[in-house]
Amino acid sequence: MLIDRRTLLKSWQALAAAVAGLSAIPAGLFFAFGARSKGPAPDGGSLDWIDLGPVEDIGEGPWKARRFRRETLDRWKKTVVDESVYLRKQGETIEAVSAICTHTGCLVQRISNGFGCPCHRSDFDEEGKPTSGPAPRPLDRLETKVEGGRLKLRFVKFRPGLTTSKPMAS
Amino acid sequence: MDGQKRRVDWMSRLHGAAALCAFVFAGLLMGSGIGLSMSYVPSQAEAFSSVLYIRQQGGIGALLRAMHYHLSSGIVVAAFLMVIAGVLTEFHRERKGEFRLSVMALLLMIGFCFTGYVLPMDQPAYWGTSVRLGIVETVPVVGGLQADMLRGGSTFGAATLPRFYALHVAALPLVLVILVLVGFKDALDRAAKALGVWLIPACGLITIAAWVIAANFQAPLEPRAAAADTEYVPRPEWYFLWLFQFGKYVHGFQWVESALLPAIGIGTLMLLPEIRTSRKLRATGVIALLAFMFGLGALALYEDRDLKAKPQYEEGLVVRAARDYKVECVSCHGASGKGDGPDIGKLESKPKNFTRESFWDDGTMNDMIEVITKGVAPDMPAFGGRLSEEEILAIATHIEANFRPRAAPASR
Repeated sequence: MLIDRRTLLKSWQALAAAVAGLSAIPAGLFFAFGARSKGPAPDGGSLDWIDLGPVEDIGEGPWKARRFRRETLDRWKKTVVDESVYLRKQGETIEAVSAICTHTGCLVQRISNGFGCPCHRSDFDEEGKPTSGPAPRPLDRLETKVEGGRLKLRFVKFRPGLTTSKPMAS
Repeated sequence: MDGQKRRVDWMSRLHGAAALCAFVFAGLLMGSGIGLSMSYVPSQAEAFSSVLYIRQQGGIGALLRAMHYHLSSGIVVAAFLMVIAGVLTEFHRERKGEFRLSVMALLLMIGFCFTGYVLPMDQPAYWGTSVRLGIVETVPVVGGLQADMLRGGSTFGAATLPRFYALHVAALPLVLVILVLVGFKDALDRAAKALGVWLIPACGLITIAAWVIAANFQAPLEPRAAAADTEYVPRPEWYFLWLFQFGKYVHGFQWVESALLPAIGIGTLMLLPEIRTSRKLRATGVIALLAFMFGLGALALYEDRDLKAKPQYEEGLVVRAARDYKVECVSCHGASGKGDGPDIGKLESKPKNFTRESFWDDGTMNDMIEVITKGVAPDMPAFGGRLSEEEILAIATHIEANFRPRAAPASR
């Protein structure tokens, strides 16, 4: 025998490890740098104003959940997605707050005088400030404006877990 | 002395049994996974439908999915027991390399669970993965980058599923095969020596048990992922409940949970072979760890005692249809479907009365679906833009099931 069984096994193992190691380079490169969003349409929300319909449809009073659809370019795919946001109308002012919990990104629900996250039990007061639980920052405020009698929203998503509001698409 | 010897012996048997189970499970998981991959489509638009198709077709597809689902828990438990038994015996010092490989194998199994969990794209898949990516984000310095890599961009989208799929079916299995090639040959040899001719029946028995479990307990599938659903309450799989509960207590320093804790755990296990420790200390450590995990897990379950059971896809549609009917239809068609809702005074036309037999004589379910989708002037609104085809079909079914007179079953 030119080569004993043990040595043969060892060399097979070394070869397999080498092949795996080599394959890890291109795969790892793509994993790290491929398909990173470029250009003006990273899907961290929309930079355009989204139409939420006539202002008079927004009921006067405290925060209410509002579902809406938006068109977006998700990487290579033009797509329509549903989103939720909380709206509040007091007289002439309409405010919007993101429904995405600032802790890990679940959607918060309305509770008496505020918001509550069903995941890790973060509570927020009526102004969106955290009152208990692990949430690191207040719920993110979103920009609104009224144009031609219609409510417009700038819907941006922010990174969860941080103490400051940092948009996803940055 | 004798008692201690017997206990150690018992532990190394546990180690062997766990290793054997892990091997058989790995084989069955690969086989069922290859089967499933022949029907699964890793695209956000189609993933759920392709899984639902397997579920509704039943037969071998549903059986393989059930097996894949249950054994994924099984292999995590087996790998965990291997590590624990290695810590409690002298195994971790006598076979340092093998012990470290078993720690890596456990991490790898968790990686498989992490990447596989999202694939069906039902509600827990989407929300569970969103939460986990949120936790990854809090790893200091590299967290955001890591989450971006996993998602293939800064948000959960079209590039995300292909990445998780590639990791789950190509990258991680490759690492696993290497691990087995380099590390576990000796372990298999030992198992073969210890069991002798019984090795094959033992493997057969584990295999049969896996098939029996798969045939009797279906894999769950909740409703399709809905990113705007503020009513869904996400919860992790049972073996992550303790971590989930722990997350409730970490205020402010999230990197403790996402980076420090895993680093301490893995570091301790990897360094353990180099440190001389008493068996008593290790046993105390293991017991403390198990108490921590099971305690927190039990607490999580206790705090969720009032949480409603998650409906499966089929029930979920029924529940949602009833809710949709209440929200969208009752104001005109009425709670009893007689067309006597509270808002009929405001209408120009008369809403349909679903309880009249003539209503059902005039049309079919397809007509009703068309009307709900496109609307009818002047008063019936079109729901095609707001509700999905599935939801509209479910509402039509809800109306049929609740209001159609049952007097003449022969005419159906």
